[in-house]
Amino acid sequence: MVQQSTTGNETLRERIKNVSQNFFLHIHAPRIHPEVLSPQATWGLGVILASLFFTQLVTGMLLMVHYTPSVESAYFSVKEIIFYVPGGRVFRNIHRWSAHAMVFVTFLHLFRTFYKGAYYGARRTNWVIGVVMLLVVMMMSFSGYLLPWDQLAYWAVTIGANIAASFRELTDLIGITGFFDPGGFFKRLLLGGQEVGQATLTRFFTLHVIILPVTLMGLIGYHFWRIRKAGGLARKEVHSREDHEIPAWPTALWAELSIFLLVAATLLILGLVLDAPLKIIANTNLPENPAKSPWYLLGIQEVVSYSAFMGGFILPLLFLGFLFFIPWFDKEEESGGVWFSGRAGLKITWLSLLLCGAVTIFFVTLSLVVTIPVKPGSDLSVVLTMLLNPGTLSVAAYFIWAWIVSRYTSSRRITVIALFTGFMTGWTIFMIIGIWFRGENWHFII
Amino acid sequence: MTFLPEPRLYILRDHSGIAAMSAICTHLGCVVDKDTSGFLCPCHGSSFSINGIVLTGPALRNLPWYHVNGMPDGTLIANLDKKVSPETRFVI
Repeated sequence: MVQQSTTGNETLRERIKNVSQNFFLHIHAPRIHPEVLSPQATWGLGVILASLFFTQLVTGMLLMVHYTPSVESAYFSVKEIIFYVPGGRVFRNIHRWSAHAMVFVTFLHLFRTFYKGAYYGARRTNWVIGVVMLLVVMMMSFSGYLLPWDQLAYWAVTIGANIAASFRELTDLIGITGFFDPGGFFKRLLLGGQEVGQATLTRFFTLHVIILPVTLMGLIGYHFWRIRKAGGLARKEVHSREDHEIPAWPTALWAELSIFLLVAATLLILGLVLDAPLKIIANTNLPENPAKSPWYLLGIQEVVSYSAFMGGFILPLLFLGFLFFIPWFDKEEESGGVWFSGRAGLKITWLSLLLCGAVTIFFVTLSLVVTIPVKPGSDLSVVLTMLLNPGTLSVAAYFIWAWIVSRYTSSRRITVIALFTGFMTGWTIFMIIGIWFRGENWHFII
Repeated sequence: MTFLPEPRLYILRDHSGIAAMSAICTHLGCVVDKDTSGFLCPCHGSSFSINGIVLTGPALRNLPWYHVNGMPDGTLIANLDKKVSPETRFVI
């Protein structure tokens, strides 16, 4: 509702101010505590993400005008964007770097909300929505991958679809693939056929430009609204309402606008100086060697190189399940709003980082020395490959570590900190191995 | 041994005849590369012997060999629905 002017002769400037103030106060609470405005409170990560998403929408629409989603011309239309369309190269660069930033900042945002315990009570819903948004952001990124139809695009999606089909490792083992084959179903659903082709490109294009962005927009709106419902951003103690609170308008607005400008300026500079890669056109007969996915998927690629089903399916699912489950397991509300819930939490974070990191590196090193021979057709060999690999063993170790912590501290908050830190440390180490320590034919290199 | 791109097959010809082996890695579907001692997958490092037998994972299944038949005009047909043992040859 637009505020009614009392005099009826307000200037245009005043009207604009009224309208924008009204819009702003629909998103924000009218009064906020200065504590949540300080950079340490949130690092502005949520606003950075919103700014990045806005940038993606604008640059994405510009790219869409020139892009053709067909197998024959997709690659050349991307080349056209780079070499002929005025400003096309910069817009494509910004779109790519902003996408990478979105994945990275989404994880930072997850760290911040987790370590600050922003998932108790009324915040539980928002935590779950946040985990769903993390998934949608990853899917946006992955679906955008196929569109340029270059070598990376084609083979990344071929691998992705076969990871979906790796459910067959399990159904084959039980011997039910003949009549119950979810792996095959997922693969066909994703590809629209048996191989990556025109049907796949059409599906991914629709997902990338309509279904996922619209879903994310809806979720962002809900995510924002839930912050207000939960009584503002998480902080240590909520005193009486009047306690030192200041009007949100215009202080919070300036804070948010300056973050947006900073994001836009950074992306513009990045877009001008750093070119987004475009490999040679997809060659359906020959993958690159090594065929590496982008950095944030290399952790998965590394564990998938141990076992397709465990690394591509079970372990990521375990991690996601754990994220969803956190607010139901840990209800120690007094731990919310403080980084690491105090000294004990910080100590366990460091300890988990060191221990789980060491265990992961140990198992990876062990796998380089001892290899389990594969006996095709033998069920035992399949089970051994699934269970005795660095990915599965490390994750099992994180759970054992969390169990030990829960025995000794009998605090659920400290327990989830141990497990969360374990998972994130492992994921980072596998990612580092994938990025820097894998060479031709995925051999270990130093 | 020759690589045929479209059906993604390796065609073997020796003194006893002709055989066709799949070039698609049984792990996650990349095309395997021929190497002096067998086949290597560039995506996740599986290795196979010259007969397509898995040597090291993550692949869990061997590269399949397909039935080869000849048409009267000399064209060779590989039947991708019919798997055969690695020793099977189409005798010319």
